[in-house]
Amino acid sequence: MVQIEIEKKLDMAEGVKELSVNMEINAGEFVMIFGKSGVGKTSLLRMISGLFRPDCGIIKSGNETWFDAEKKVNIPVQKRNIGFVFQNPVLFPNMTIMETLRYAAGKNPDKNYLRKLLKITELHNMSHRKPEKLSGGQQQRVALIRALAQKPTLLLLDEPFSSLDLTMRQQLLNELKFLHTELHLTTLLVSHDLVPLIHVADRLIEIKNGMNKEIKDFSEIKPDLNTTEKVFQGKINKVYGSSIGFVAEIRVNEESLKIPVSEKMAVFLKEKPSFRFSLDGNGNIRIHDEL
Amino acid sequence: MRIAVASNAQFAADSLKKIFEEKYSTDVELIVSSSGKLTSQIKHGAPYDIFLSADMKYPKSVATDGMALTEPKVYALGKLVLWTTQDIDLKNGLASLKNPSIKTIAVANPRTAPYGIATISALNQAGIYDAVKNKIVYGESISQVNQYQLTGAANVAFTALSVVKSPDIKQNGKFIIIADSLYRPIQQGAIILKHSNEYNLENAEAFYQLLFSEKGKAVFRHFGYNVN
Amino acid sequence: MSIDLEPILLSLKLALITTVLLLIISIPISSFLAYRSFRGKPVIETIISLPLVLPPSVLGFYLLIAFSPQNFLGEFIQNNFGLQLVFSFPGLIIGSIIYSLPFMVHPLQAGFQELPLQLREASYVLGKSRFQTLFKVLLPNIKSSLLTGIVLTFAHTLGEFGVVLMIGGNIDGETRVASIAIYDAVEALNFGVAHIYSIILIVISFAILLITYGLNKKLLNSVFRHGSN
Repeated sequence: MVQIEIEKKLDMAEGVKELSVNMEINAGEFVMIFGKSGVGKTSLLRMISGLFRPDCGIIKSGNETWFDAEKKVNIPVQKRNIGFVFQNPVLFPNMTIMETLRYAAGKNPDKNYLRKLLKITELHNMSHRKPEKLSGGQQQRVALIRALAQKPTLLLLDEPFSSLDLTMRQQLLNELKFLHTELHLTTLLVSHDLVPLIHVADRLIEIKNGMNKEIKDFSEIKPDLNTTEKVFQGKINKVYGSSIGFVAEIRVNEESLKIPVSEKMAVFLKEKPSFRFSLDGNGNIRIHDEL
Repeated sequence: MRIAVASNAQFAADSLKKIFEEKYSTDVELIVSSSGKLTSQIKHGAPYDIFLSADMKYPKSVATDGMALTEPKVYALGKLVLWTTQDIDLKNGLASLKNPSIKTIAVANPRTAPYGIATISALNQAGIYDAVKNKIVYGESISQVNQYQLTGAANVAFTALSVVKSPDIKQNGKFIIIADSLYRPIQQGAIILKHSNEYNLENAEAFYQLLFSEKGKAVFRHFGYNVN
Repeated sequence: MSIDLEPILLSLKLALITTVLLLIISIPISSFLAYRSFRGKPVIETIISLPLVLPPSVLGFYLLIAFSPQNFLGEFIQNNFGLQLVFSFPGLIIGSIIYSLPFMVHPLQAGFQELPLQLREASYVLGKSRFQTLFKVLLPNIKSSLLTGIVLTFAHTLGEFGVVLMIGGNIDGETRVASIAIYDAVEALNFGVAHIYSIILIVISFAILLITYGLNKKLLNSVFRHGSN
């Protein structure tokens, strides 16, 4: 279990903001933190990892104290055994995929484990390639398994797939979810965009006005009307329930989108297999007309 | 009018400049450098009217190249001194150099500077060159030898008598004059340069005469040169 | 005309030793300057850049005074290390290191700064120390900057004159480097010898730069970029 109870004054473009976070993450959980850009999501991840120092509070992982302002404990980032996936892949340009994994795994690497990581992400046939010879999706996969190579106690992801297109994002999220389950990871993912992520998370935490708030049902989330709407035509594949609500899987052209929906909408969609709809940044769906 | 002056003669030349400027109300500019550098400059067309060298070799070479109006003539005989600004005993003359407390001896480069040639010959004549040669460091000219001494980088220096008699340095340290018998007299030659032909011939000739007049000789004597 | 090659060999030796030592010194200095911000950083950067604009005679003059056994520093080094820095090869090395410092520090600092900021953090989160990160991740990715620094420093030291003239003392096999030998030959009106030394220096410099440009096209850009700074 990771216990986080910290405060930090953040120097933002709009001025100084106070961030006060109090949360627990249980072993094996997949927790998603979301909030608008600039609320301090990235700073929170950096503080948990040890790249950034909170002003006060404590961070504990199991019996280990990572940070305690009063006792002046601040375990350096290198000693926290964390996996961190940044917004951009930031791969090492001088290393092939294999060299990257060996560097990340350290002394006495578990070769079977590394092979398994490569296999799951379908990178095993190109393990001798350097980052410049990889596509965006492949690069982000390398960043993901690099973070996993040392078998971290906690995996942190900072908007990991936001630079990729929607289909690729879905696919990587599915792989991430698979890895999470398969390797019994504890995962904390940060995003400003809820739509593609909701079906993989066990828990949702929103950061708003400098505080964290547990979301029990995503229909609590207010749609963000500022986000440009996109109009799609699609067919319903299936509608199913998850731990925090209903998800509609929709086929748009050749792509498959997973969209969180309210119960009412779920019932409605089951009866309307083909329609035109639009989507805003928070995943709210609006039906325009039937085809 | 511009006069090219070897470093060691700059103080005497400065006195002559003042005398000349008063008498003829003409501005005189002194260009002070090593004789070798001045010679290279003159050969490549530097606009100087008179050249006061530290030796005879350089003015002869200028004359050979047809850059001079006169043959080189000795205006002064330079004297070599051993000089120190440090607490070092020079009572034993050149033999003092063997003293282990002396670690560095500054000498003008014998490849280019006449005072350097004189120094090496004096050390050889005194029979101590081999004993002290590892202590010697070379300055590119008398000026640099003086720098080495004044900054304390060298313990002792061989320089010109005119230097230690100059107003700036007079109070600094002590010196002994090296016996004339230990080195060939340092004949310093002067020539009028071809450049003066264009504008300054009259002035150049007047200065040349001043150089060899009784008044001029008195100035050089005052700064420790011998004159004929 | 017999040609003494010792001054050329001495120049090459001085350039080589200076380059190796400067590389070792400049890696920590330049990574520190690239990644840390602190009060007084502009002052440090200015001091390192001073040799770019100061005449070598200024540096040589103060080194002569500082190294003089009559003064504190020179005396201290002589008494404690038995090393005389005026008129000696070790003195020339120290002078050259100071004189060529910006030619090594600037390319390396720019190289470090051009790397993505998170590259270091990506290594730290894998549990790697600063030292491991420097040698396994940062340095291998600024190879062209390293090459630029090495070539510029070597060439600059090879052509060094003013500082050596001030503190060298023109001693055969010790401080009489090629540039001094050329100056000497010109002074002595021995233009033939001056030509030979000069041509050897030109050929060596040309060869070094040509090979480097051939190896690394980026070099040209970085030289111009740093030159205009």
